[in-house]
Amino acid sequence: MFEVKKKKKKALTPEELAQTYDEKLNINDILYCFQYNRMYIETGYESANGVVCLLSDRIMAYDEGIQCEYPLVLLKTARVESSPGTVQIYLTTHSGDDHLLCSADRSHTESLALGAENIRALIAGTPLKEAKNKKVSICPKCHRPIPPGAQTCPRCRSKRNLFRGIFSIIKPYRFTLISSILFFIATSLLQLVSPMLSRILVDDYIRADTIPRVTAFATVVLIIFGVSLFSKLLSVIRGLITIQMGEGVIVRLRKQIFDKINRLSLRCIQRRTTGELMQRINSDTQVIRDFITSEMATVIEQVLVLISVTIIVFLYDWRLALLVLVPVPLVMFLYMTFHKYIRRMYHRQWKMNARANTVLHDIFSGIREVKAYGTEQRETARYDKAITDERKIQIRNEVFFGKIQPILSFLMGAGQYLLLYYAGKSILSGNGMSYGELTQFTSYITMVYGPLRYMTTLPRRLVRTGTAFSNILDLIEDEDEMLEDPDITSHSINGHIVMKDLGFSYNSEREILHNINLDIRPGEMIGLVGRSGVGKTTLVNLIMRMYEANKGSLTIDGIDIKNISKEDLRTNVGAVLQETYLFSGSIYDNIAYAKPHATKEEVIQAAQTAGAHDFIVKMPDGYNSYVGERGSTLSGGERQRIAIARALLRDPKILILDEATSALDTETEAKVQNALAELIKGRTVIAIAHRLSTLRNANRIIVLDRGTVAEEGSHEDLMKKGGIYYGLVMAQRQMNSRKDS
Amino acid sequence: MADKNLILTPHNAVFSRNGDFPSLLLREKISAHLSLEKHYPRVYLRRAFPAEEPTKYISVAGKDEKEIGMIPDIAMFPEFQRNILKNELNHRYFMPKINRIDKIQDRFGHTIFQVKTDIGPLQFTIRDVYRNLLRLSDGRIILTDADGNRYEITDPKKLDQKSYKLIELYI
Repeated sequence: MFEVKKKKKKALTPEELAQTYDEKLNINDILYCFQYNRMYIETGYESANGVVCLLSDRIMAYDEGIQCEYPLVLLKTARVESSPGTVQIYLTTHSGDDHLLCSADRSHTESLALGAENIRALIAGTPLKEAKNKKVSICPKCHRPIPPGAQTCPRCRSKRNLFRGIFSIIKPYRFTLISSILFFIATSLLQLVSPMLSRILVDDYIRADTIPRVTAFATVVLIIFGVSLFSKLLSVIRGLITIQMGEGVIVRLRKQIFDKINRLSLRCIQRRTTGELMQRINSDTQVIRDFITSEMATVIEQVLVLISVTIIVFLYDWRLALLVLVPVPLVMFLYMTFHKYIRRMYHRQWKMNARANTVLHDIFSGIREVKAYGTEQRETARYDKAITDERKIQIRNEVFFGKIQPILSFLMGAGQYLLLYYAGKSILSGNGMSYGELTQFTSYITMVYGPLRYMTTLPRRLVRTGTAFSNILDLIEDEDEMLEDPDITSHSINGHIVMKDLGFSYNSEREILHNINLDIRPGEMIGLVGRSGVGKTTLVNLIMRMYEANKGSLTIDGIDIKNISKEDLRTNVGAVLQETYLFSGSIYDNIAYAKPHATKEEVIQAAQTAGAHDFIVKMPDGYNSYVGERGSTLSGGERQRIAIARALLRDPKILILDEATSALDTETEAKVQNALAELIKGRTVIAIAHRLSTLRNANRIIVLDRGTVAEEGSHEDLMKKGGIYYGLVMAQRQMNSRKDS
Repeated sequence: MADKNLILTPHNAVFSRNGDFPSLLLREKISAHLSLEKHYPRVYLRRAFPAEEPTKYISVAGKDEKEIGMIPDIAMFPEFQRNILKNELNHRYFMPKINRIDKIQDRFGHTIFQVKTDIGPLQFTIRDVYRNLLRLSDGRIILTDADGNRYEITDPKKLDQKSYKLIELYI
């Protein structure tokens, strides 16, 4: 969000702005500065145009003069706070008092975050960070950061960029596109010929003054027949080719999109819902296919017909032509005015429909809750209301169209009645056009209405096509997964993980992890503990390179994780996570997923070590038993053990374990524990641990608190310390003892 | 130990001003004759129901973001303290109030608004208006832009003709 620019010739840099407020300020003294646009006042906030300058010995805020000034020696730290309305920087003095430095609207979140970071750096004496790109890397339209590598904001596509993007998608299919256009043009050109033939027929033969020769007559009829037949034939061929080409196009398109989705970084995939991704592959590609094979060609054809017929008609008798075509602009104007309203109406209907579907989806996926709480009636009422609302809107829309459409149609064709009158008059008076000419003229006029009607539906089609292209382009231009240096050599991994000053945040607002320093030796078992949501899963994701850290370094065996080939990494890092995802397939498929060429012996071996073999063999289909969507036919413990078997088969050097918090019965839990014990042997294990037993077996325990490593040591050391870990263990012990008593 | 659900009333809480922020003096009764006083130099106020209840059910938290207690209704407190609390809430939940809409440009994928508010003329972009336009039960309309900034139209019916016409399509 930015203030409406007041005719400034050139936007001032923050330094220049500060100097206009304080001429005594020397620009060279400014180490860093940034702008803010809100000022705290008694009743709320006011628009401002201020700058915060970091000087070597103080921090100053300017806005029409010096607003406030803080000597560096007094300051302890600075931090950013954001609220629903604003973003602010607070300075904390050594005496513990907070002072508001500056405020801004939320579009300045990133810039203020960097500003606060630099203030902290200034206080600590460490080097300041440059603003990422002095050139705005924020899209001027939608104010989203432009993804690295993209020239323009892929989300706000100006029409021109859209066309460029569309062109790049279509390019491989241009042969198809051109042939379909040519076919369409051919069929319509033939169309233009037939009224001429009718005229000849009427004037020279039917209403001729002299009796014509039968053969000549027959020839003309034959020609008409021939043209008609040929034209129909062309249409049939056109149809066949369109379908065939269409199939080829859509298969290629879908493959292309699916490929791209696979290559996207995890961040970009998770940003979209499954439904969205499926829509891209299924329906958006269909729209594009239609565009390539028929829509584009139809548009060109209709335009061509419209222009040529209009020219012919005007050349013929411009007064009559004008007469007939005059109502048309009126209708188009009416249509344009209603267009916006119509779009809103349809959107409202679509929204209601989507809402009804969501309610339905909600009820079905939560059917267990519905039955457990006995709210069936309430849910039925909810759905009833949703579809009633939808119906109401639908009826309103249809009534509206019922009223409008006939009126518009009538007006469009009103010209024809005028034509009838004037043309008829001229014929009757004897010196106007002939019957044949009238027939021809009428045929041509009717040919105009077809394209005109098509034009009225054009905006809607264009929007739909444009949306489909925009969606696909959005995907194509999104961040690929971290690119790999093709020169990477393969390494065998030992499992020595070192993290130096690691920091990570999903977006610029909240830093999930910061200043992580860890040294995990090969073969060590690390227990990772901390409160829910503190960042344990995030840390583990960084080790698996699902995300890339913003700050610091992560090395495995001394090599930066970015320089390890993805294949090596994925083969050597295995995970058994909280949610066991088993895909549709047999148990064997699920275990062998890790190693597709594994022998049956290897799979059975892994299942035995995992303690899964017993229950698998007891099932009627054994290893070929089908595990449905989400593996619903198996119990939690069984699924866990299959996941462990899967991890065992991969035989990774580094293992990530996320203990399921689901309560298993003691017998199963013991089995799972044994399986895990087997799994852990000889590997570097990082276990997000919840059970005391696991923690006791760990070589070292790392306690995460508030995004950083708070405590580190063996179980005994940390218990002696009496800190956070001690608290967590005592709490769990208390809970366990309560369970028993 | 379960979370303490402490209700803050004038009996156990006194709010005062510390620079620009509210601070709290909390009196905890340990026994019939003994009470402990704890001073929080700076507290954060959050509305539990930001849209429906602006002055009721206010959560009060300390600097470590842990909740100290909850105020059932600000009106309970004497005027001076009430004003301190109201002031802080107004600042935290600040929203420019739109009093005129100059232009709405519908673009592909986003809509650009040019408006006049009580803090001057502003321009902002909304990605998906239908999803970011909230109609509250008392008639207010809240718009959320692409950065998360919020804007309020206190009474759409009080807008002038032109502004209303522009916005009504989205309501």
